[in-house]
Amino acid sequence: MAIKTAIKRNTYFDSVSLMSVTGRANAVAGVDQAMIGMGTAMNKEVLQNVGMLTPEAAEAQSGDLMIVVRSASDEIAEQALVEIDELFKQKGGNESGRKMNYATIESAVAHVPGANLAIIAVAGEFASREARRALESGLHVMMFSDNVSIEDEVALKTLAHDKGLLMMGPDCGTAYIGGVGLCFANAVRAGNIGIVGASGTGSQEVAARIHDFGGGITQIIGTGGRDLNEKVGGIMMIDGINALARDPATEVIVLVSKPPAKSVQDKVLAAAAACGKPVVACLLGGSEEAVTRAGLLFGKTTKEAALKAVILGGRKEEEINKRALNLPLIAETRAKLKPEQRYIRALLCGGTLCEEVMLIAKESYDNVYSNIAKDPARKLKDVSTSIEHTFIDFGDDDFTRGRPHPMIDPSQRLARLVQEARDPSVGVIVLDFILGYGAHEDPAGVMIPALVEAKQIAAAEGRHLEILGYVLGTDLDSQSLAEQTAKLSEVGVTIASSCTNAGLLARGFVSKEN
Amino acid sequence: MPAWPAPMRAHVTMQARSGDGAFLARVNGAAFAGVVHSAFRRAVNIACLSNGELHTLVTGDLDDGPNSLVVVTEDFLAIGICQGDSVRAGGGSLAIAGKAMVNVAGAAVWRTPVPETQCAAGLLRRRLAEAEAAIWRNGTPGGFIEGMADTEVARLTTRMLHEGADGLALALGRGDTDAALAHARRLLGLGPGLTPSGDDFLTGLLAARALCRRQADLGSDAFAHGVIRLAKSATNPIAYAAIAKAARGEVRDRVARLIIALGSATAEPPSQALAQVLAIGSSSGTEIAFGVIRGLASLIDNGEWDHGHQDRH
Amino acid sequence: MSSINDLFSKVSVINVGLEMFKDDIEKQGGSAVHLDWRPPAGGKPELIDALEALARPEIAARIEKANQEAVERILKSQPVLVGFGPALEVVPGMTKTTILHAGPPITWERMSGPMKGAVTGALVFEGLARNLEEAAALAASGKITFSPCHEHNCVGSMAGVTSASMFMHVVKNKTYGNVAYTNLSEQLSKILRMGANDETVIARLNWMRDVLGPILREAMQIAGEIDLRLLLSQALHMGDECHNRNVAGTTILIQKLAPFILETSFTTAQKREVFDFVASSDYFSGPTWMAMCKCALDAAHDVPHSTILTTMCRNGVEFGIRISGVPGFTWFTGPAQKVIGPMFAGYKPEDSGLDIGDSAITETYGIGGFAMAAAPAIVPLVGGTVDEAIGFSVRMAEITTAENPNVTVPLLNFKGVPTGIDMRKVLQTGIMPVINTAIAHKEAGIGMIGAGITYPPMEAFEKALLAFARQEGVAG
Repeated sequence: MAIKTAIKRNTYFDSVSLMSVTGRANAVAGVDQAMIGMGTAMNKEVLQNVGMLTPEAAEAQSGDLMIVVRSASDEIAEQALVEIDELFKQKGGNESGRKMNYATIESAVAHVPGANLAIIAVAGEFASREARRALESGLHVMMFSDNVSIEDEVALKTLAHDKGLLMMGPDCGTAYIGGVGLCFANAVRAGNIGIVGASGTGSQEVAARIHDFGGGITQIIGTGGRDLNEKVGGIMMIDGINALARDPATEVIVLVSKPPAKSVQDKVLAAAAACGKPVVACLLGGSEEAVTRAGLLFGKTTKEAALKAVILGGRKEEEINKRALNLPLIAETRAKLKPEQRYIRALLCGGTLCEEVMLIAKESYDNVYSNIAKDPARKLKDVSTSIEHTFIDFGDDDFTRGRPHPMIDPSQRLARLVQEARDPSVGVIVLDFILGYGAHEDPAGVMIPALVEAKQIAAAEGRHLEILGYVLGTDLDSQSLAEQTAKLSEVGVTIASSCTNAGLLARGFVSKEN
Repeated sequence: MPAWPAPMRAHVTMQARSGDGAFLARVNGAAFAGVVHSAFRRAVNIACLSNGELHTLVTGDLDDGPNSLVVVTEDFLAIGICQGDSVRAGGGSLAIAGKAMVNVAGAAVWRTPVPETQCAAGLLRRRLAEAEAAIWRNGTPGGFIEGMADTEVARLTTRMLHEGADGLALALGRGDTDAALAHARRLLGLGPGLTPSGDDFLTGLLAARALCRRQADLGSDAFAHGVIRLAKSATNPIAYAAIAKAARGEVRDRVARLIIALGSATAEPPSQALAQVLAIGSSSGTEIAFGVIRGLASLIDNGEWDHGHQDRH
Repeated sequence: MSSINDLFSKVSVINVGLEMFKDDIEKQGGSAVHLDWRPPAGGKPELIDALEALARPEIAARIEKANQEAVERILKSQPVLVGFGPALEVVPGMTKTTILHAGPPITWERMSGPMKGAVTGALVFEGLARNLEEAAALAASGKITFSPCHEHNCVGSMAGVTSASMFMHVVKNKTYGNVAYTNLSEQLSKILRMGANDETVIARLNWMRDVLGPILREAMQIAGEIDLRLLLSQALHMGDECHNRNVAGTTILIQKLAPFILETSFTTAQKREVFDFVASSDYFSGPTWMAMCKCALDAAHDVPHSTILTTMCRNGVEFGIRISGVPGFTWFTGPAQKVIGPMFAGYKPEDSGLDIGDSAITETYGIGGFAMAAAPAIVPLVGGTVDEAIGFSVRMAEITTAENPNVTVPLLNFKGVPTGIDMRKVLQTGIMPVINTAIAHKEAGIGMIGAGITYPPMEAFEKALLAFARQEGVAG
C-alpha cells in the first residue's frame, strides 16, 4: 500500500465542501481510503492508529488541511491527490469561467460564434452523418475518418459544393488553413504558395520542401485520396483550385495527387489552366505530356514540384540550396553491400512517401512489391512477408484496422524492422519519420533500440545493413528536426534530405550495374 | 476623531441586518483593525489585530452569533473577499480591502438569548430522549453518525467520538472535573470538517451548561475554564473561537434557541429548533445538537438542574 | 455561412472525435471547441438506420411540422386550478374498487415493495380490508382494478396510489379544455405514496379526506380559479425547480389559497390544522405542479407524426414513456433505474427502491431536473457544483425542441426552460433526460429515505423509435 500526503497550509474550506470532497475522494478509482481533515493532534492520532500518519502529516498544524490518500501504488496515490486538488478547485472555482460541453454540432454552432470548420475524426460508420450535419449547419468539413462509402463521399461533396463549402476528405489527414495546421501538418513559413492535395503526406512533403527551399505556404487544402476517382470527379480538387485562385495571398498553386482517372484528369487540368495563376501539377507517376499540354508545369517528384513552385513564387534559383543527390555516398554504400544484398525494404508511415519511393524504384526494377500496389501481380498476398523489393505503407488499412496510425503507434513497424534485418538478401531498409502536429513526439527516439538491434543482427552475420532514414519535418516543428536527425545519425542511419532523394538513394544503393 | 483621514472606498456596499452587541459597538465606536483570516461563500472570519479574537460576517440566510454581523448579501466570495484582506472599522462602517463596505447603522443588536425558566427534570429527560432519537433519525452523517464514507478512518473517528462523549458525560455527571477534562482533551480537534466534530460537540455541550447552570458564571465552572485552556492549542482558531464563546454562555442564535426549547418550562416543542440546528454546516449541527443533549443531561446527573421551578402538571 | 475564402483568414474549429487535434490547434493559437460526442443510439445499426430513415427530408419535414404543433400546444396551454374533489366523483373511469398507480401498467404480482405497501394501505383506508394482510389477499384476488394514473388523466407522486375517496386537484386547461387530476401531498416522509401504511398514515389520510380536502374544495369554490402557470413561473424565479424543491411554490400557492380558506365554513381549529399541515413540509405544492404539467402535456398528445415525449413515468419496476405521435396509451418501457443521491441517516444505497412515480411529468414539461439552473440550492442533492446544476439545464436544451417563454431561468439570462423532449434527439446524442426525484425504501411500510437524480433507461427510447419508424412506414 502506498500513502501520499498533501498539506494545505492555513487553508480553510467550509465543512460542506470538505465533506463533499471527502465523499468524492473516496470514490476516486484505485483509492483505498482518503482522509481529509484539519491537522489537529487528535486527527493525527486517528491517522497513526490506521497506519496512515506520514511524516508530512505529522508536521501539520491545527490550522492546516491534511489530505492523506492510501492506495495500491504510488502512481495511483499521486494521481488521486491531483484529482482531489481538482475537486477543491471546482469547489472554489468562479462561475464566470464556466466551460460548457456541447454534445451536438448544432448546439456547438449555436453557442460558438464564428465557428466555421468541423474536424470529423470518428469511426467511419458515424462519420458521414456528422459531416452532413456539419455541412447543413454551414460549416466547412475536414473529415479525417476513413471507411466511408464512395456514395456518401459523392453526396457530401455535392452538398458542400452546392453550399460553397469545403468538404476535405474522407480520409483527409492534412490541411493548413488560415495559418493553422490541422490534424497531421508541419509548421511552415507563411508565403505565397497554396497546395491542393489528394494525399496527406504528399502535401506535407511538398510543403516541407517549399519551406526548406525558402518558400512559404498560404493554405493546404486536402481533398481525401479518392477525390480524383471517376465517381467523385475531382469535385473538391476543382473547388480547392478555384478557392486558391480567389485567394489574393496565393500566387502559385501546387496540385499533389496520384495519377487521376483520365476523364477526371482532363477536367482538373482544365480547371487549373483556367484559374489564372501558375500551377505546378505533381501527379506522382502521371503523364507529363497531359500536364504540359494543358499549359501547366509538371512536377515529376514532390521535390521537383516544390522547387518549381518556389521559383515561380519569386525565389532566385541560384540562391536555393537544392540538396543535390550525394553520388559518392551511393558508390561508397554499394561497395559495402555483399552481392546477395540486392533488395530494398521500405517500411513507411506516409502513404505518398511510400508511393513516391516505390515509383522511383520501379523506374529501375520490375520486381517491386507492395501492400498498396495497383497491379494484382505486384500486390503482397501476405503483408507480413516481404518479396524482393518490398514497399510497405503502414498507414494502409492492412495495418490500421482497429489500431492507431503508425505515426502515433510505432509498434508494428518496430517488429518489422527487426524481421527485415534478419533477411540476408536485404541491402537497404528505408524508414520515414514524420514530425509536426498530430505526430509522435519523438518518432526517432522510439525507433532507436530497434535500429540498434537491426544493425547488430546484420553485423553478427558479417553483413553491412544500410538503413536510410528520412525525417519529414521543418525547423519550426515542435519535435526538433535537428535533434531527430542527430539521434538517427548516431546509431548509423543514413539521412536523406527529401522523400525524392530517399527514393533515389535507396535505388542507387542496391543497384548492381554501373 | 475619525481614526483615519481618507474616506473609505469600496466597490460593494452592504448593510448589516443585525449583529452581536459588542461587535457593533466596536464598529460604531473606536477604530478596529483586522485581517481576513478565512473566507467562505457564506461567512468571513476576521482576526482582530488588537485582541486576536475572531469576528465573523455571515450572509443574510444565516443566524446571529457571538462576535458576528449578519450582512444582507448572498456570497462573500463573489465579491472577491479572500484570506489576508485588511479590514478596518470605525464610525459605523467596516471596510474590507477596498472590496466591500458594511454599514451597521440601524442593525438590530443581538445577544445570546437565555432561558428564563426551567422545566422539570423529568420533562427535560423526556425531551432529551426524543431529541436524541430525532438527531439519529434526521442528523447528517460525518462525525457522530457513521455513514458518509465507509473507511477505516471514518469508523475509528466515530468510535473515538462516542468514547470521548460517553466518558465526558459520565465524568461530568459525577462531578469529576479532571476525568472530564481528560475526555475533552481527546475530543478536541477530532473528526472531519472545518470545525472538527469533537469541537462542535463541545461547543454544544459547553453552551448548554453555561446557559442553564444555576450559577451561570464562568468563574464557577472549572471544567469550562479547562476546556478553553486546552482548546487554544488543540484545534484551529475558528473552532477555538466557538468553544471559548460557548464556555462563556455565548453561542449562535439557533443553538441557544434549541437549548431554551429543551430546557425552559414554557417553550414550544423543540422539533423546529432542532431542525434549525441540524441544518448548520455539513454535520456540524448534528454534533452540536448531540453536545447540547449531553450537556443538559450532565446538569441533571450532577444535581445542578434547578429543582425549585417544577412544572405544574 | 462562411465562404471558403473567409475560412482562409481565420479558422475556428469544432472538433469531433480525436481530442488531440483540438489540443494541437490550441497550441498554434487557433480556436477550437471539442465536442462531447457519442455514437448515435449507442452505435446500434438497427436504430441508426431508423434515425437515418426519419432524417430523410420529406419525412423529417413532416416530423418537424408535427413537433412544432405539439410543442406549441405545450407552450400555449394555460392550466388553472379549478377545484378539489374525491376521485370517485371527479376522475373519469374511477370506481370504488379501482386503484390507480404510478407509471406504466403493472399487475399486483409484479409491483415493487413501496407500491404494494401503498396499495394495501389504500385498501385499508377505503374500508375494503380490515388489515394489511386482508388487503394483500384482496389485491391478489382479482377483485381490484389496477390502472395507471396516466390512463385516467391523472398523475400520482411516487407510488401514485389513488383510491376512490382520496381528494384530487382538478386542473383545467383554459386553452384546450382538457382536465388533469392528482392527489394531495401527504407531506412528511412516512406516507402512503412512499409505501408506508401504518395507522398514523391511515389516520392522516382520513383527516385529509374529512378536513383538508373539503376545506380546499370549498376554498376553490369561492376562489374560482388560480393560474398555475403564472405561479410556477414565479416559483422558478424564487429558486424552485418545482420537483425536488418546492419551498417557494408552496409559499405562493398557500398565499393564494389562504384568504379563501379563511372564508370557508370550517372551524378556526380546522383551518389552523390545514395551515399547520401545509407548513409541515415544503412539498405541499409538488403534486400541484405535476397536475399542471400533465394538463399541458395531455393537450400535446396524439399529434400525428410527432416525436415529442408526452409522458415519462415509473412504477418502481419499469420506466414508461409515451410519444405524441403514437396515439392512445401505447407504452414504451425499460427497467426502472436506481436513484443516486444522499440518503437519510441510517439508510444505505442498497435500501433504495428503484425509481418510481409520475413526477417525471415535470421534467417532461421542462422543469424539475431540466430547470436545475433555477435552483442552485438543491445542488447538494446532486452532490455537485452550481456549475454542474447549470450544466444540466444547458444540456437538456440539446434534446428539446423549444424554450418555454413563460417559464424562465434568471441565472441563464431568463432563458426559457427546455421544452418538448424529442425522442430522436435523445437517441442521436445519447443524452438522457435528467430527473430529480425522491428515494423510497425498497420494502413496503417504511417511506422516503433520500433524494437524488436518475435517468430513464435507453431501452424505452429504442423501442419507441423502432415502433415510431414502423408506424411512419420507414422501417421494418
